[in-house]
Amino acid sequence: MTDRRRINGPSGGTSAPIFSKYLAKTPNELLERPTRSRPNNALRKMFLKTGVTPSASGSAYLELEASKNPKSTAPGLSSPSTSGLKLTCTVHGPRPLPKSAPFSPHIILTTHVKYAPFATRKRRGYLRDSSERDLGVHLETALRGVIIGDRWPKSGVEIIITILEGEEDQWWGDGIGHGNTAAAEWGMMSVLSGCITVASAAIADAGIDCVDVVAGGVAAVVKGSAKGPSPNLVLDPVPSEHKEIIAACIVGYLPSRDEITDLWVKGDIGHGNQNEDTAQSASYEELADSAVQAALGSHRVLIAALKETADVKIGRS
Amino acid sequence: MFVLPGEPLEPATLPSHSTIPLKLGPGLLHIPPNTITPTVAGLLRTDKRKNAVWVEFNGGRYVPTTGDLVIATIQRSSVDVFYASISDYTPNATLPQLSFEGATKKTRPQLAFGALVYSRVSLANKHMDPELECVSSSTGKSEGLGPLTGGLVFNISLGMSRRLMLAKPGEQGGLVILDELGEQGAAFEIAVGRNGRVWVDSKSLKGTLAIGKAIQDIDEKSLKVDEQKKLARKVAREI
Repeated sequence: MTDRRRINGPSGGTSAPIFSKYLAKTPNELLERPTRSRPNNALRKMFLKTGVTPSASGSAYLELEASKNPKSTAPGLSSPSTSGLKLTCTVHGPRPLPKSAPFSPHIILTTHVKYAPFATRKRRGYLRDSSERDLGVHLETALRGVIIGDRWPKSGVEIIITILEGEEDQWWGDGIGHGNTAAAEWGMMSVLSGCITVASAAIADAGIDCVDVVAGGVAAVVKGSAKGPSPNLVLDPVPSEHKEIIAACIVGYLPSRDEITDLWVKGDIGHGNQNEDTAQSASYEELADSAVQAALGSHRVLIAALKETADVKIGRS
Repeated sequence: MFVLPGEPLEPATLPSHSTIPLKLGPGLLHIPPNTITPTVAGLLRTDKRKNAVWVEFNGGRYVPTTGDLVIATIQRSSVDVFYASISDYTPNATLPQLSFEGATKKTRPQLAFGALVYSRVSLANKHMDPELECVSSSTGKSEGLGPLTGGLVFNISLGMSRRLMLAKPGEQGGLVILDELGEQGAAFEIAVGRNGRVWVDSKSLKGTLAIGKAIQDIDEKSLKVDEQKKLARKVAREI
């Protein structure tokens, strides 16, 4: 449905043009794909802070460090490097439902995920499209199992996530006629994992009763990395760092109860006991376990951020 | 001790008493038979005398509980009940017109929109709108409750209002501002509501504003005891 109410900006790229003096001397230097320098089981550095929006009941901001081309000589912003992930989340509620709403014995959770128009390399519109609605449904599934809904009958809580900078689905250089087929939406997987973590921090900031602290983690089976041609299992994948992603999995995990609230696997993967030609490719169970490991890593950052906020808020009494 | 939702609590951290059963305060969930988990992130506090345990977190939302003293603002009145607002995000609470001291069907209190009332929450559960009362149900006397005339009301955080309402705010909560102001000779009247509101009345408008602003400053900047004493001296000079 086209948006006829607003005057939209020109559709197309969102990156600013760069000065030619920062262009590489040889074209090979520029068109080199960024590589993954961290080990397979290491996550990117995460910054998480709660209480960024004073007018909301709870809020949080998450930022993952951007991956860079190690050989690029241009200073920070002017190199066409890949982007990191920046998310902000606000929680409003629990607040009473409107009088016209039917009675509900538990709390009604509403999630709203939106990419900012400047968040990805291709400009997005102002109205939510199907991928954003999909993210909202997955986020609601992940959080529904954690919030104790019985304490708030006839009430609703609204969780709004704005993605200020999103993950790319593939390296931009791949799009320039290297023969790559249309990439599936791998960027959305890391974005969803960040959404779960940041929503969990905002809900804890709002003081809404939860059974546990849910954390999001993502893992992928990739091909063609520096470690060799056989498929590898990596945690916290950045889609532009890998030539081909075979399968990816994202979980919402509760560490204290050892439970999973949301699980989403995409790609080409089979069970462990299936006989396959490439015996080294990972199985579905291994992929899900790695995603749980990634969620544990996010959980550590999450509880450190919550403890810091609590120290500031209550430290004096 | 800082706790997170879902963290298992060791029995050693919980108080035990020979006769009184363990009382669970806000922020804890009991899973039968013998698991107690926190449901919010905050500091775990215990009281050995009353055998109570709760999680303290400075949230923004006031949840009405029976027996709390709150400052309510009258919104409108109907045939036999006032509708008063306890907080911005909850439906109005009902305050019967007859639950004031000395009120009969012929003589009811006349409260207009915006009037302030110091009342107690008589009924609060998750299914119904809260109800207030301005008279003690057992004795029939007001015991300090009732309409607040004059003065100004200020918004403070819930944690600050809890500290102000402690039995010994100086020792337990680190608040000496009110005692210091009294020592410096300032004359004022004060009422604190657990819903994050404090009412101050003094002889002059300047004094009222100064005291109210001082309490808000202590809340926002989390001032320590000696800073509070300095602030009290400054405020007393202005009055």
